[in-house]
Amino acid sequence: MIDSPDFCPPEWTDGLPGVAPTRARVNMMLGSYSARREEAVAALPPSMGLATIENVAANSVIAGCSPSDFPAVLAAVRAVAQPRFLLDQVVTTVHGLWPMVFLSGKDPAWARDGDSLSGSYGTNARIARALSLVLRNIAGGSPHSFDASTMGRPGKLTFGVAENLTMSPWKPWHVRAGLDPESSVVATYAADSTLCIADMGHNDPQLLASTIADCIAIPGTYNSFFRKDFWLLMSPTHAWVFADDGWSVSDIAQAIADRAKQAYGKLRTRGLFGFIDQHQAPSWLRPEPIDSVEISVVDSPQRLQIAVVGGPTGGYTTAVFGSGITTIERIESDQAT
Amino acid sequence: MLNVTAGWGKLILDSVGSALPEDDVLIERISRPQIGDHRPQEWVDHLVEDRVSAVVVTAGDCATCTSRALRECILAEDSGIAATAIIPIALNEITNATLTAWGRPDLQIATFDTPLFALKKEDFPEVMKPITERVLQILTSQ
Repeated sequence: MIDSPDFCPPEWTDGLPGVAPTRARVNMMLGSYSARREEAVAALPPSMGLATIENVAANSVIAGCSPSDFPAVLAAVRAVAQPRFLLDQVVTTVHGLWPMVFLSGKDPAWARDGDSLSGSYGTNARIARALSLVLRNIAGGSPHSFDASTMGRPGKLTFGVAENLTMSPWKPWHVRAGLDPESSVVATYAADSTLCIADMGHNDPQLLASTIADCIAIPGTYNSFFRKDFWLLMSPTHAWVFADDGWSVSDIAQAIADRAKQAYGKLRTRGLFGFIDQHQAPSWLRPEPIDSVEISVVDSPQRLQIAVVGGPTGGYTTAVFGSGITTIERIESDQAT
Repeated sequence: MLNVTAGWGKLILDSVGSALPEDDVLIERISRPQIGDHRPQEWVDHLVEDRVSAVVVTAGDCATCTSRALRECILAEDSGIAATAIIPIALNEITNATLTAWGRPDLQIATFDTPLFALKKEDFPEVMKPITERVLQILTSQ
């Protein structure tokens, strides 16, 4: 790494260069939050390090955020700090789990068009990177501390995505989740790898639902064992294949959940099922099903989080595998005042 | 009391348990979930209620389980129960981070440096022999 006072020490970053969080830059990031700089945001497991508005701002500087990104970073920190996110598990596991940051709302700065999962337009990637750095520097999430991940995964650097509202046939994700249409939110999900599911040329919602279901019903994933949330980031083309035929989001989720099945006899001889003893089994395995029963990797249709992402061309759905419950925090644009 | 969790934990504790002196030790083996909602104090309260005198925990190569089991060790000690953990040295960093974060960097644990994947089932008793001695040494010195 280039030795320059503009870059921070390498041990404060994720391996890529980080902006040095000088007092002036942190003050610029804080803006109208300055008076509240010492305010606690959350104690973050597993180290129980205290995230304050000021040290979250410092990590946002390192990540290259602009001050307009900062309220979303604060909301992301609050979202992963919710107990049901199980942050200590996400950080300590040998698995490659790490938060996906999903942005839903009207912020004009968020990248919503083509290549949006790649971070090409900056904003989403910066917000998610800032959260990652908070976890490394405050929660103990570095391989020199609590992060025991066997391999990690590229998304641990940054995995931020914003919903494409203008090309979506449906209400915004956060409105479907029960939040105020005027609000903007950050949702966080303990994600692992993504799978790009291609389906083009059929324009048939039944076939498309089956394609997606077949692709996610994979033994050997955390989803097939724990059956927690599952994210499907759908391109506008796929979304409109369903919408043009009158399918609602609930219809899609039900159809995919109904079809994403494997025989229990096959599941139990694969993947994490090797871990089971009588006391370790998830609740859905008590009592243990018989081998011939078909089990969906989706516990219920409500577990499927479906949102429209990306540009207008190409029929793709990105399945985001992972383990855990999606947590949501409102971005309080007026919280600094 | 031996507390089995995941991974190779069962094999490790089978080996350690069979090497403990039968006449002097009443061993109870307990498996319970480590993944999901973690309530270490509740767990330790049960141990106190059951008048347990010593706890040995291991979680094989599960890192989350190891970190959580170490917290239980610390709480058990705080409650007056002698406690230690058997940890593969590959999890040294998360072990140190956990013990430091919870205020007990001095907690004595038994480590072994053979990668678990390199061990066959029949290797465990031999590999765990010095570990058992170390465990006994730690527990009887508390």
